[in-house]
Amino acid sequence: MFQLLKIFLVCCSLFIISGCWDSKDIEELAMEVGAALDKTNAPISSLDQGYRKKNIIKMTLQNISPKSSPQSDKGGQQQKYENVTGSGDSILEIFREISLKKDVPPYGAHLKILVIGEKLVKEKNLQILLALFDRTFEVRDSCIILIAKGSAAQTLKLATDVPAFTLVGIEKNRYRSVKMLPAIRLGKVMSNMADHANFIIQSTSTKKRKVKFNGGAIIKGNTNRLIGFLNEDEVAGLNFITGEIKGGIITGRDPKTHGLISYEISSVKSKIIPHLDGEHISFDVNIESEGRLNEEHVHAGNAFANKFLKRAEMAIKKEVEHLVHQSLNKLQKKYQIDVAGFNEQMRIQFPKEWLQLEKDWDKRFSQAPIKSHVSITIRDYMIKGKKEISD
Amino acid sequence: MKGSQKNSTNKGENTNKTEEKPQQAKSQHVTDDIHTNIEQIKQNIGHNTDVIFRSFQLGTTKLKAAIVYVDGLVDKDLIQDQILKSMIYDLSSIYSEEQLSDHDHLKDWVNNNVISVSDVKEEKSFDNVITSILTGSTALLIDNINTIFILGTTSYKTRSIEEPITESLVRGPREGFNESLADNRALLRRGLPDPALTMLEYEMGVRSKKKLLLVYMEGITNPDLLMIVKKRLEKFDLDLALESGYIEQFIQDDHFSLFPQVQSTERPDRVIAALTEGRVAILLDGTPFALIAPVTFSMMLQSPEDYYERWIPGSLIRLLRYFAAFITVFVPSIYVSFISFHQGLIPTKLAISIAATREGVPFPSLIEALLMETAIEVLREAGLRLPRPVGQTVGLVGGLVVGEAAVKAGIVSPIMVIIVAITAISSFAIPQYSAGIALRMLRFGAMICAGIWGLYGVILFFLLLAIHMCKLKSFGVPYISPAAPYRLRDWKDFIFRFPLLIMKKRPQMMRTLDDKRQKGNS
Amino acid sequence: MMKQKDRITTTQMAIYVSTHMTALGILTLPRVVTATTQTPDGWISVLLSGLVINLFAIVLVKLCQRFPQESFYQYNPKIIGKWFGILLSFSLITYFILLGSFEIRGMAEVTHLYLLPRTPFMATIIPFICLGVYLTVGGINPLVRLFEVLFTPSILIFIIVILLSLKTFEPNNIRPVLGQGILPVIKGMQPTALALTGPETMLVVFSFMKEPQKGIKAITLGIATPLFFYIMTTIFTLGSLGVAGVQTKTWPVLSLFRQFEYTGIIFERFETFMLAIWILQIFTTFVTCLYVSALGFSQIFKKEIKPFIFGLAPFMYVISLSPKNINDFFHLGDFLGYVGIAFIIVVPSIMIIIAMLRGKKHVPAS
Repeated sequence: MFQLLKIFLVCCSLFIISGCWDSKDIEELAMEVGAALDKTNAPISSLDQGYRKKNIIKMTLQNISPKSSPQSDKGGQQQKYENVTGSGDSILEIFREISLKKDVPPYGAHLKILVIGEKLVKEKNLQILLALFDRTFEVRDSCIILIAKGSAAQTLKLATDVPAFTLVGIEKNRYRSVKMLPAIRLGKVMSNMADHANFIIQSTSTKKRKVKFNGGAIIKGNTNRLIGFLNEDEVAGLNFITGEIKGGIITGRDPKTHGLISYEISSVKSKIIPHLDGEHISFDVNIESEGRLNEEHVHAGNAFANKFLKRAEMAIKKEVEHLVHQSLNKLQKKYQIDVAGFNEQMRIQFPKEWLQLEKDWDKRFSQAPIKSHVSITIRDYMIKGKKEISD
Repeated sequence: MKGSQKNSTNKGENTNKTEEKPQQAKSQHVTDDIHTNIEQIKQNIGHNTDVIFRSFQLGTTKLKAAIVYVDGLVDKDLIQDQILKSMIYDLSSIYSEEQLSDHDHLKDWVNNNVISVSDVKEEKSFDNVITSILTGSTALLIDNINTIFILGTTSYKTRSIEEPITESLVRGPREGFNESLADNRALLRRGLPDPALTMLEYEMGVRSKKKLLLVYMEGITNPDLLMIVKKRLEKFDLDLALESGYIEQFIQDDHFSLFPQVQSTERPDRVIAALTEGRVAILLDGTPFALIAPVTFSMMLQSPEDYYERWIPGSLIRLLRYFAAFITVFVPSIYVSFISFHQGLIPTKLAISIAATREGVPFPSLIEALLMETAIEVLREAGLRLPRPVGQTVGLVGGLVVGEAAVKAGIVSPIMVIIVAITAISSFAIPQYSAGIALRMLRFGAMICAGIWGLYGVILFFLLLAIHMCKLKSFGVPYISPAAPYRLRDWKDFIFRFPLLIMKKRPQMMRTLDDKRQKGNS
Repeated sequence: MMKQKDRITTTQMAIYVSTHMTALGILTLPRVVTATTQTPDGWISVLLSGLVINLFAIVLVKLCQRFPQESFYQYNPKIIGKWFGILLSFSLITYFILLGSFEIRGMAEVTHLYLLPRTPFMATIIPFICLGVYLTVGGINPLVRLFEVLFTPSILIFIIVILLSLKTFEPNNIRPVLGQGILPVIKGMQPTALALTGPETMLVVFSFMKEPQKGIKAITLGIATPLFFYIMTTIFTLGSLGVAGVQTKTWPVLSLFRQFEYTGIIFERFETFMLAIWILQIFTTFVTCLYVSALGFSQIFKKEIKPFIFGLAPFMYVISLSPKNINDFFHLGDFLGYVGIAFIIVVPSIMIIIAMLRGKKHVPAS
């Protein structure tokens, strides 16, 4: 027993002497919080002459390292982050390249946001691009993916404290707008691509160090490349179809007075009902929404009469139907692609037939008639008590 | 009374046993002649100035008598009023010389009619006589009688019954044990005037000859447990038993374990509660700390107050203590592993602020943690040993000034100071001092493991701890019961304390002879 | 006080079986099942094969109940003769040694991937084995006590963490139920073998039971608990990652916990907790393998168990390092799964038939 104890102690001390293989203190790491991938054709700089490469991808990393975030008492308007750029043929290569140039290694576990430039996704297979982020276990699957119209690197140069956090913060505002897509995360993107599913990613535009989330970027499943964008209204329509709305405003026009009516959504439920009749496919989309009247530029006197409410509901309904129709039109006619989850419902309702339908689903989808049924209920008008006065 | 009966029989056996060992050659019996007897005593202890020999004559007779006692250990008033006075003055007025000259009756007569002291023994062996004198009895020698009367006149200064310092409660009795065994025994009797309360007396230490009481509840305590305790007590073999800690170290199960396997307490209420649960208690003369055995880990985190408070606050506070125990052992190590190994597991914003505060700290987090934890242990120890007002100053100066200065100087990060302070405070929330020490020591092991293997090391250390506790037993009771083996009945008094109303039975793990705590419905 | 040395209660037995079962298999289960079924019905396969295993485990218990005081190593020569018996015992021992080594290796692989990417295997495996040895030399009682201690927190943490993953759960991913009919489900039962091995330890440890007549209750509880975990895990992983996503992940269950984070609480990320309880579960499985195989040697050679424990530990270390890459490792896992199933299904069934035919039974007070 004591012999064993001795051996054990020797082992322990050996560990202590040679150990701590992985120990690396937190301040010696540059925490990446955001990353941007862009297509580039920049010339190879003189520093990089030492080996062969073609510079296809440019990567910008937004690092927060203690070295770049000095204590506040030193004062000044110093940046809290540092953008590091590298370019090369593959992402891993760029990472290694950065290690040759920076004393603190980049550390990916806190990567919150990954922005990919439009041009790059059009040319390169997204699955291959993201494989590295997915396979190294540093980067978490909960990292948000965005597609930038124009240059992705620009989105990380916003005039805010830490641009990456700003982007994440905007992402959290979905309960205030119908024009934002649900956040799609790295894990989900990888799952979708493994499934050869089409999907849509929130896209952003940057101008003069200001950003806006506008529209969605459609990724086609079997090629994993970007094929086009939806604009903000079309995104809203798509959100109504999928029911992925947490809140936001829909503005309609009163058919009688042509005044503006703002309807604040409190809930949206949508149900896609697939019908299969032999080879013929058709869908019903039932959208139910409840909300309240927030603001109307109609004459206030009759705001609370049921008659007016009906009219307002009709106005909003019309608007929603318009949005839905518009985005369906774009998806079916222009892109001929299904990103609204019609395939899911088909698979669930007709699992046996789905195996046949699956192959040329996008084509079938683009020809399928889709009927939408919208019902709007106004629950509340924000000002109580005036009801008696009116009417 | 059952207790006292057992008492005497057992004491007889025991004293016989201890008597055999020392000074066997000199062991002589008392003779008829008072002079030889006195000489014999003088030879043994006469050279000590505090041993007083006082010779006198019985009443008006020529019969010689003498008393021997140790100054300071006896009640002098008692000796003067009840022994000397009655033997010298009162005798002569009542009895004639003839009556006194009858040697055979003299003994009975002295015993029955003269000495008005309650505790009288007759002793024939000099060894016992000398031991008795040295423990505060008075020896009465009378010519022509071949026994010596040992009069229980022991009286020495004891501390009054005060509030226990190491285990103070907000609510609960304010009395604690003191150094006098008689007082302590009385406290128990008063708390539990039940015939089943049994006290066996032992003598501990060949030279210290400390009295020890093994207390248990006849008819409740499992006889097997009693056997084990008795066997281990008999194994005690040292000339000295200064404190119950000596006993504890002899009777514990695993000498290499960091965990206390016997509970020491100053509180009579705690002992009484343990007794009724079927445990045994050990009281030693000369120390206010009683021992309770067997113990389990959960007992280390319990305080009597849990039962005095109503059950919801009681349970929550107990839960808090489990939490504090966890913090004490694992928080510094988890911190080290997060800072040096798994930075990805810290929330992003926290990670950024930690990284900023650690900027410029010259040591890796493990070294930093070890330094700071050692510093706080030194502070604690220093504060403990100094006189109380100074101790507090040391704590303040050390904690605030040094901590502040270290942070300002950039030697340690402020977060490390926070972590160290949290662990230190948590460790003081553990009601048992010895358990607190154990957990504080373990903290260092955990930190080193974390420094080598990160979180995996912390898990390994946790496993090591769990394995050790699973293997440990205290007097045959698994240390981690009732967590394992599962005894759902005992879970009522484990992490939560259920209402006393539904704690109808004694702990199952004690295998008591009598299960029920409540008289009526079972 | 503990007079009945080396006896374990029915609850302890159930916990023993269930902690032995939950090990490496749980982390890969959603992937291996879904890879075969290609439908979201993997969890039904798990449920069905669990029931089948339970059925045969009852047969196994019946066999053991014929010899309540003896372990498999001791009674099998009585049924099938000395030499066949010893051969069978040795194959069971080999199986346990391999299984134990496999578990250690799996632990090292996952730790390497998620916690300590630069630490050599040696440094993670050796302390692990040392702890195992420290525990097993104490005998069966500390062993089951440890399992009991780890059991409750494991369940609690598991349930909390898995419920947190509801954040990324998409009900559509596990619909439709039985869309492709029952056939894929039946096919999917085959790869669950590895995850469901475990009841075969009953062959050996049954002899420690205090109340052998409650063996069936113990084993049913023991199988039901991990089965519940498995089904929960499979459903939640599938629901979060989708049929295609699950198949691309090496350790889908850990990927599941990397899909989400909760900001605002002290902890943002929860895979650590899962990993921690999982390492503990791996430890329990490894320890039972070590103990049961050492016990086998000691009962066959009628010697003390301790030298065998000390001897087997380095041996298991060497075996655990032998798979060259992750594929080798998973092949070993598949193989062990089938052997384990053989020891649950084939061996006890044949043995009990022979025993019944030959009328072999434990004679009390012999």
